[in-house]
Amino acid sequence: MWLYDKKLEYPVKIKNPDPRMAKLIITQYGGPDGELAASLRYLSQRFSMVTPQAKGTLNDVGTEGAKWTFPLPGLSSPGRMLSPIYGLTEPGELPWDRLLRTSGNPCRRRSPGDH
Amino acid sequence: MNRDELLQQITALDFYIIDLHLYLNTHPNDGQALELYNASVRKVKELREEYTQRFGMLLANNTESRQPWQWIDDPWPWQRAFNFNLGEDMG
Repeated sequence: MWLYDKKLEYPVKIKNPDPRMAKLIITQYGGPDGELAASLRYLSQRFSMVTPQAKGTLNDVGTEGAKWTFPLPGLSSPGRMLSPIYGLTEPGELPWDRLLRTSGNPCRRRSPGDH
Repeated sequence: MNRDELLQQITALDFYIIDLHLYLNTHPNDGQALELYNASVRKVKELREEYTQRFGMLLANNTESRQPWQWIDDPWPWQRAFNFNLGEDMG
């Protein structure tokens, strides 16, 4: 289903370890409004597209979103980013808890601002 | 080219190719963009071939390995040693 490229898609420079920024970034992964959920929505929406442009774009943008799984280990270079997060975050606040939750009415009308 | 220079060129071309790819999805008749895309794909194929020969496997699939199995060799992309230096002004 995926092919692993053993290199980064875009270079990352960590000038100074910044636990607050790391915590912020990591909350954008999971949960109902996170990038992983958005990528799965794109990959579902592609099935009902009509034009080749829309099918291709949703397929590929969904694929790009799914690649967000990889910066996670990127943030976790031992002793640099992730460990400060765990040091500062109480178990109940961990963003992973949001991964299993979904929010709102799944049948609601989609608004233009939604992903 | 040394390893860092080679990796930097491959990374830059790959990113350029992804951008052109997404653009071409909605502009399939833009011949100029398509020519840039094709030229970049040809170039990065050569560079990836050279990298794999000299420094090990970049792709898990359809890549030959020397003995012993090279895929699991350090460093991995999330390790500092893997990545090229970005210098001071590109932070």
